[in-house]
Amino acid sequence: MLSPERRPSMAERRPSFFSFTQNPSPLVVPHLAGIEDPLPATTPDKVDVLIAGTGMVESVLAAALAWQGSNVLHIDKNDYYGDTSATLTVDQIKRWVNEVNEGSVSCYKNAKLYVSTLIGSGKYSSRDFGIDLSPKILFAKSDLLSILIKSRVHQYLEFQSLSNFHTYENDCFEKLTNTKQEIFTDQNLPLMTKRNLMKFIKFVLNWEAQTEIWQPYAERTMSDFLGEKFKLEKPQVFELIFSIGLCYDLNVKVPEALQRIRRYLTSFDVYGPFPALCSKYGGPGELSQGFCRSAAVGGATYKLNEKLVSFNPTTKVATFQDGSKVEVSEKVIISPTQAPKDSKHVPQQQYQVHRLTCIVENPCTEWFNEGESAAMVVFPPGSLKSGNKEVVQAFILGAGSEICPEGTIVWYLSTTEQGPRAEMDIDAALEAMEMALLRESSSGLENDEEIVQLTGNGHTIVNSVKLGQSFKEYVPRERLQFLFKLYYTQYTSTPPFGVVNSSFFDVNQDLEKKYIPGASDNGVIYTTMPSAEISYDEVVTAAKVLYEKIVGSDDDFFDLDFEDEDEIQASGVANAEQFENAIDDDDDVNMEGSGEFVGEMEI
Amino acid sequence: SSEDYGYDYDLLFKIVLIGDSGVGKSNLLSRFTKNEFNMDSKSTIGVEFATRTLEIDGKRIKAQIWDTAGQERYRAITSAYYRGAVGALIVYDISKSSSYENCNHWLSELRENADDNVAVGLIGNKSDLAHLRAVPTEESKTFAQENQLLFTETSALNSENVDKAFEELINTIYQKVSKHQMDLGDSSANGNANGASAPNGPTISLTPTPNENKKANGNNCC
Repeated sequence: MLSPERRPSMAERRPSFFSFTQNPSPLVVPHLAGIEDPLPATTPDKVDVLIAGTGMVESVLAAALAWQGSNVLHIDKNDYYGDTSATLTVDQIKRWVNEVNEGSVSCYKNAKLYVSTLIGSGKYSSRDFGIDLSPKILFAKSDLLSILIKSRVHQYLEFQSLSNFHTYENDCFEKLTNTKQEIFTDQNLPLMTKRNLMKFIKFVLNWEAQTEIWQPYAERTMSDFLGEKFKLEKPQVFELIFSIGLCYDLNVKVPEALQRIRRYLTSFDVYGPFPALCSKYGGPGELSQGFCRSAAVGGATYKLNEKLVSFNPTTKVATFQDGSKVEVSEKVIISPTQAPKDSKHVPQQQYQVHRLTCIVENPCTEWFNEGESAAMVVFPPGSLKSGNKEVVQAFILGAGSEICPEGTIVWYLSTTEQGPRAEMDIDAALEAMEMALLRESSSGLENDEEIVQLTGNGHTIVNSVKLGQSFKEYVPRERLQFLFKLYYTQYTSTPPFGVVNSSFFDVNQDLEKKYIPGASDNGVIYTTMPSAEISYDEVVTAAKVLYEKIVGSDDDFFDLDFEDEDEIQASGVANAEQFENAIDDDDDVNMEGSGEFVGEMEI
Repeated sequence: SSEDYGYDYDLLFKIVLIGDSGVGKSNLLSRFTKNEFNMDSKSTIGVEFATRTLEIDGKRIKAQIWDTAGQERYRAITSAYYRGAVGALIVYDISKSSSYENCNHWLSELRENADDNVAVGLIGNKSDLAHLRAVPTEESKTFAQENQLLFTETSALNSENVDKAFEELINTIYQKVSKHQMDLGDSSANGNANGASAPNGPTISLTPTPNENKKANGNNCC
């Protein structure tokens, strides 16, 4: 049975704990608590919770449970951490692609890989690269960020800023106008548009309370709302919905879009003049390892290369491929990719996410803000040659992020388009990026006016006579050198915008009650595959819902406080001042602790 | 204050401990970091890594030493554990030959995951158990020489050679880093541990109170 009360954590159970603190709640972890050998002499033969798969959700869950006091055995069938969130070397990707195409990795299909001979036997080695299977960005004000700080997992990681969000429109990449100051100073924006934009930004920061404004549009699309209610023009509507909101298509409903636009604006200027962060050395793969380490410090046991064969809900015994067994007193949690053979309860993964990851031999620093190595490019519906209906998002990371060596760059393209159209859209986006880059790199010759001339529409023309070769020859010579191209389709049960909907786990709960004779996975709970969402927003929600199913309540989810120096526990909870700085650089706003930001129009 | 900016040191070295379970890694860590003589009273900045600040050439060097958190038991140490490490100590138990034989495994795992320039020391711990010795000193010394590792036998129990082992490693790292900085004509002496790695973009520190417009681009990685 579940015990709703909080059990003492591993740290609390240690005798040394009580000499450090009188007050067991909130949990205070003494210095070096984790380094006292927390492990029993042999493999545990009984645990509270067994988790299979070391992806983001499972790892956050493992850490939350370990610190809550549950005895956790966390396994992965792979010889690396991360599962669906893994950050892999090129050699690991090669093996993974083979496994996908053999059908031994469920939830992925249609993996196609090109690797240049320059990697492995040439100038780059396989481990110079860290490729994420589901890359993510971290908003500066988000539930995951506050958990990272609370759990101190952020200390295992290094973060860099991401401030450049480009929108692709009319064959060029517009940099986003996202701060109040930028809106004011933007020469291209008509006065009326500026006013309307400011009005909208003021509204969106506190949209929920202003039902009279958005409620009439609740069932309509965001573009209707922005056009009719705020008189915004298409470029602004697209920027708001697709680059700031990072939505997937024009049919996005008003509340979802408002939520997502606010996410960006309130994240801006929390840690600096940027809304999002990226972790160095890789994204979810690094974060999940950080949470696994935290779980281990909290007492969880880790085993890789360990495959679950079956779970018997009557005896509560889980059996592994190596013949070992463990009794699980509470729950077995499994990632869909780690489902045992003869499983019958894996939830249907009906939504596709198409991904193309490229490594390009070109530093492409044009995409980045100074000092940064990350950028986001969004291709709104209808912006590509393919006539795309859904957005294509391209997340770009450079060598500064340490996921690729100097002189190279990684492009992560993805779309929520379903079926064969998706690959066409992604290819069109890739081509657009390639063309833009070639234009950029040839513009390096601009100083020599005799060689390069700008045409009326901004295209560079190369004086082929001067170069001693024909223009036709020039173009192929400048073709981008792709070091790596990986195309694959990932399946998930989470539709776009399903992020905060906890009912997805109820599917699993029903399954708990159903017993299918012969199934190897009766009584287990499946986690969700990563969705197409480019932010980490779904992770904490999912982990919390699972946590509640195991512990009975999520009240003490990461309810811990490390004994520490004067450091302020920076929580990611809404803070009025952050709203202020989110869009405001001057001191014209009088904040009285209310989340409502009322910027004065100074036009 | 300078603390807010993480400048209570000149250089920060991440050092990882590896080796089989039960060889005394955690005891070495607490022995070294709890016998503090450093001005930094807040030596522990994590629950499973600890720091001690030393002075070399008038520079304050903060050694941040990480323990495996038990993940070595089934050889499930995360690759992230090795990120940014400039030094490593491979620890075995002189009274347990299997722990010495496994040093090969730990060395290759280290080479696979850590920076190429990582400084490595081999430590034969539990030298107080001389009567139970299973690994001859000479053999380990040869192994260390062949693989260009520092070598010390220590006792975390009676603290013999513990400081010496860490200090030797830290000194070696310092020599590597200062040589590297000289080679580069480097000017960034303000606490980036990765003196040996490629130029990086600035790192955002999440610990300080956000939103005080003070640092967005602080270069302190921890």
